[in-house]
Amino acid sequence: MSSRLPSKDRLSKVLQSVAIIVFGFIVSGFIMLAVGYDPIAAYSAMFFGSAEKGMQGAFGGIYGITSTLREASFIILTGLAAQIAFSAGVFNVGVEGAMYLGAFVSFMCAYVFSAPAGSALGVLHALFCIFAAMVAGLLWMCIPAFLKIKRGAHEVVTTIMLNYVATYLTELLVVKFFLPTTGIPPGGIITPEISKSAQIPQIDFMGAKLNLGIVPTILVAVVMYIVIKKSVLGYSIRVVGANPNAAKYAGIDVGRIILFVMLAGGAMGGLAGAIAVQFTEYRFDQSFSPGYGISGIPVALIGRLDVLGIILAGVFMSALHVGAQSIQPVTGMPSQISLFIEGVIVFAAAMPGAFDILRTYIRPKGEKNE
Amino acid sequence: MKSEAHIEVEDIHKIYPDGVQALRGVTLDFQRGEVHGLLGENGAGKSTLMRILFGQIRPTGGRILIDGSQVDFGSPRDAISHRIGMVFQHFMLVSSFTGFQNIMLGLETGRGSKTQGEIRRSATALADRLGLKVDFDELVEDMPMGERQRVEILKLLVRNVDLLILDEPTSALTPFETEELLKIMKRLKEEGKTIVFVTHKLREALSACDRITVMRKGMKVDTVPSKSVDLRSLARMMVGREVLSEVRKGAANFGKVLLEVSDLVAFSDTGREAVKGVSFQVKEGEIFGIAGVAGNGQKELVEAITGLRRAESGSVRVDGVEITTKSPREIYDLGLAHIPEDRLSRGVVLPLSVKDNLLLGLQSKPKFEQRMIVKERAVEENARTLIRDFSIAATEKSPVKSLSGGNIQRVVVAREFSKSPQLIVASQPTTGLDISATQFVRGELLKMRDERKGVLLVSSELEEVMGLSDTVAVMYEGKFMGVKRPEELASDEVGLMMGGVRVEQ
Repeated sequence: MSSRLPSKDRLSKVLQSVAIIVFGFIVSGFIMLAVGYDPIAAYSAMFFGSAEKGMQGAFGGIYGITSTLREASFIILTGLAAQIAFSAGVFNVGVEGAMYLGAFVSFMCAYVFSAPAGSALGVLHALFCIFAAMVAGLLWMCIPAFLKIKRGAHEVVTTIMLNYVATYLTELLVVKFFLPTTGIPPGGIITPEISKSAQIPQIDFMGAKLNLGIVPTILVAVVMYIVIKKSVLGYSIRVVGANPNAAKYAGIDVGRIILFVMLAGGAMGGLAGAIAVQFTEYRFDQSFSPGYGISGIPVALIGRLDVLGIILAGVFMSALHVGAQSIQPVTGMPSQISLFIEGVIVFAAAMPGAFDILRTYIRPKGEKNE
Repeated sequence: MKSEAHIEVEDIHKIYPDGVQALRGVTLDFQRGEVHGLLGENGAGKSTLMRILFGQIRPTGGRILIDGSQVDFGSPRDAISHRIGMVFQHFMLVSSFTGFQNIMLGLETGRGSKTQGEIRRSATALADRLGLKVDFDELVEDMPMGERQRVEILKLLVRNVDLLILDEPTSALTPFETEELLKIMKRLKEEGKTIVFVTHKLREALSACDRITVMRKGMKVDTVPSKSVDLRSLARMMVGREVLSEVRKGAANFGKVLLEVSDLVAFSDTGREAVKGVSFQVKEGEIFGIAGVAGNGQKELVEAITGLRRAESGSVRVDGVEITTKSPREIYDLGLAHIPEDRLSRGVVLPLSVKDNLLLGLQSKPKFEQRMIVKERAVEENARTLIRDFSIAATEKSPVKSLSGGNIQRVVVAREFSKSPQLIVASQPTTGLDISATQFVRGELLKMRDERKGVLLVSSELEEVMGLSDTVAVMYEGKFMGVKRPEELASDEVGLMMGGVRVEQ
């Protein structure tokens, strides 16, 4: 299908993206110079850490790598959720809300029920909790989807508002029903631990704990690749995204496609929530997400709406984020500046993808013949 | 009232960037205080000329004189400062603003600008004097079309415009509103304003105008005082004396009825009744042509037949099956193919490749789908075959947006014919195509007919409808003005029907 680009075109896209990322690093470097820090030292700390300060950066040791992979699994998922929506011309910002709701439902199912850990029933329990989280995310996304299809409410507005509803709703539930047993800080707004049977163990990997969240993430990526590139559904999604009029003319039900991409995004958000609870924290921590759901949008753009690209972009963004935390201890640069630099690089990296979208959805208005 | 030349245009040429020659040297003048009709078919160049006069587009050659001195407009703002204003067919109003807010828009700032109260007083005085009934405090979205138009006119008058261009001003109005407008035009004329009345409606042109300029194919045919002409001679000037039947085709041999439309009523996007009870049949082996100036309901008619627009009432049967409640896909499954009028916005998906565009509408056919997966090999095979058979100058992987207009239409035609339809609805199938692509498309339609398929051809190109069709209907304001065999139609009769004059059937 057409999205399998001729290799030359694909190569030029990769080069373009790499060039602009390098540009982002250079600009950030000048900013650091201007405020009096050594950019080389900062970037080195970011990616490789510093042994004497005990920091590993994003890739400078086994702890760095496992942290990077853990974060990557979340934002690859939310990136894929953003991508499938973008492909149909929908701007789904509601993955964060779906993720919170999914996390809470996953927690409830994992907390209320239990089964003998390690038994077949235990595995079933764990799978059931993950499934329930996905359904929760999916149902949650029905709200903005129906508002859009039936009433024409723009999804950006409704999904952003619903994100607040979901995060505060879960916070309320935790504060009301679980905090009395778990106590407030230093733990934060957290629930008790879930049943052992629903916990997916972190495996020992050269002394560090490797989170298995990357496994379902890669599975989803493979399914997405097949759906978007090989299936009739994917073809229909791309037609709707590029030209809804032509889609209607071709007998494609545009409303159903929009519904599908939004609900699929909701399910992926729900899955990300289950990964946070069952693969990572083993409880519901109200502050588990530093904005994974929103990060999906730049990840989808940096990955140029391509499944493989999104996997790379997810690892890249997660490395930036994890690595930035090493800059302050190593170089003494205030964390505000490292956050700022992270932002500059992400912004630069997302530009080509953003232009791709502008080119597809906004057509130049030239002189028109009579 | 007579008779100084207010505005003269001299030898205006316009060639669009895509090479279309819209104006080929037009010279004419508008006298101060006259209503000047500008009459012509689609593509005659009326709108292009008026947009040049209003500063929206620049001419490729020629000059414009106001009261004898040359002017050069870079934008509509320049035109308005030279007291030229235009009311477009689709109004340029902010619908969530009130009438007065729309009039004020753009006047609220700047040195020496008047206060709101002053503008309101002068607008009220103008409106009263000219009988422009406008509720200043009503939202535009709540106003009927006629009132919106009066807001547009008032907006220009407040800006001291002397020359008003009204582009097809009656097309959105009810007959009563049209009467009102004609009265307003008369009063404006008495105030010494010059009015250019762009239209294709013969009767209105004759009754409202002092002089009429007829244009055809980017040139002026003539300017005549309206007292010295009648409907028939105007129609003849508008349509010309083209050789109407030069396409060779075999004798007609009709079979069973493939498409039966009865008393079909459909509304336009703005909720106006665009198709007002149309009935006709298309039989096997027949090309049924619908002529008429674009915007007279043809688009809505075609969309109602192809399931893209809801029919308000009446029935449409494809091969005996009622389809007014069916989806486009169900209708295609009955053997209908559709070459849409607006090929870029409906017929193709520009960023996708040629092969993916050739799949459009066929994506769920067993030939191309197996267990929800696209059969890539079949799609490529299909693309290669169609590219060869229909001489599309592209590879199967080229994105359609890189193709020329003619090749894009070949993609659409190839795809629709590859559905092996019983009935094809072709809407403006050759608009904007070069000669060879035009010949090709027409040839394919004739081939369909000779294979005893049904063809419904909707085109505002008269030559095409007359040359290809076995039966011709002329559509005007949502109705058929007459249905005849093309040999039986004199060219002035067609012109009359296109201009809204019913001819004995």
